Amino acid sequence: MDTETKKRIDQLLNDHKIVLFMKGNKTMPMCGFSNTATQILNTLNIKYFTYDILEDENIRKAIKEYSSWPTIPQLYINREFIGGADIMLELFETGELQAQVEALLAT
Amino acid sequence: MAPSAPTAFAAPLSLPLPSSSFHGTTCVRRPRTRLPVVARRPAAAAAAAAAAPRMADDAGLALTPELGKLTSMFKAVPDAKLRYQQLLFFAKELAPMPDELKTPANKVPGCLSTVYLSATLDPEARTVSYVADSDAQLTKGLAALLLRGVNGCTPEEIAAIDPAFISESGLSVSLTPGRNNGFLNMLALVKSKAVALGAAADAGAATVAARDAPAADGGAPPANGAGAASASAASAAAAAAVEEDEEPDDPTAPVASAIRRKLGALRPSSLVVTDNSASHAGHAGARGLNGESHFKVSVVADAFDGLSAVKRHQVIYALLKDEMAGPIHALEIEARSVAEVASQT
Repeated sequence: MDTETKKRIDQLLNDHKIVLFMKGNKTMPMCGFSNTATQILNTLNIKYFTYDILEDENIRKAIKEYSSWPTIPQLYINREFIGGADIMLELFETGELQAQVEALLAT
Repeated sequence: MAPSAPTAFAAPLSLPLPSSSFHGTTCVRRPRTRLPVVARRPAAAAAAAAAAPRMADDAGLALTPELGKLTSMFKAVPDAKLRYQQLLFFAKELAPMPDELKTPANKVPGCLSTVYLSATLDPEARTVSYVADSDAQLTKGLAALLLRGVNGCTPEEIAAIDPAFISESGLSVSLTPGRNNGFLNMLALVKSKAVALGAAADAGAATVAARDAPAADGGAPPANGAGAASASAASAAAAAAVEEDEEPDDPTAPVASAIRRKLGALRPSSLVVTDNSASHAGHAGARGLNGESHFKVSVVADAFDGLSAVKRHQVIYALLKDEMAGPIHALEIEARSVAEVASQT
């Protein structure tokens, strides 16, 4: 990916502690898996930032290189890639996701 | 495995997961090769079958004779509204279905309306007959149409039906994506019941037992119409899931076959590949009704021991690099180690 796009992604991850790259947005997800991701985060009652990759083809391609992950949605906590919808569900079920978020908010 | 929201992920808090519209059920595979009709009917019926050869319409689709006639008939109707009316007319003629047959195993999954389908096999003629019912007139008409097309045919003929007849006949234009999807699922259930009955009859099992065999659901391997020797009954499904990765590629489902083959490198103790494409038809990014774009894989392998969830998924993505860059639009992954499964049961 070009340096310009990488900078933009870096910036997004720096500006917000919890970032979800998704299709659509919080109020109108455009995909079942993106919807699952937002539903989970909504249940946690925390502030999070979403980026609609449908708006920008560059970011859409680049974010997959950035995390070596071929699909959307993608959750980042504290600049670290956590996973997609399946993983979020797993982590939510075991309570790990809540724990990670709490640890983050405590810092 | 449930066909709707994944029950494996029961959350501590109540979680409003998306409805079953996004987590679909097994989609129909499109047979692209014409399959030979196994002639096992008694002499009289065989003579009749020879006199009325299998009909292929202009598009060269594999269809039963009756379904071929119906396809041509609908194709000839000039108006989408008139086709719709014809379906409603068919709905009226559908024979009533006894309530005791309306069981969960006989319910068409992923359908907007409630549709029930039950099948029996005539052991002598080795032909299948169905009864069906629905609470909505349109789906009742579609069921009636389908039944007209398959009643009295052999499991092989039914399994070979090319779902392209739905668009070929002009019917798909009269149906919303949701209804199209439901119709495909109806056809899938018709086929899987036929295959199960045929296999059970071959295995010498009782007709009644075969009729109650569970339909192919989201967890079991999709009913393979191409001469599947093993029945799609639940007991065989578990064994089949392990054997799947040792079978030769299925030419009617190249992407699913590639997934199975490549994930075989993990030496999984369980591998289930489900094509959920049909349930995504009509939403942004879906590839129409051709299928083989949205998959779910459930893998159990020792190889995952000690790997984080992200690493497990990355292993799978790496194995499927070509498919991810190509036909696969979405991949749901369930990756567990043998030890994890053992501790959960």
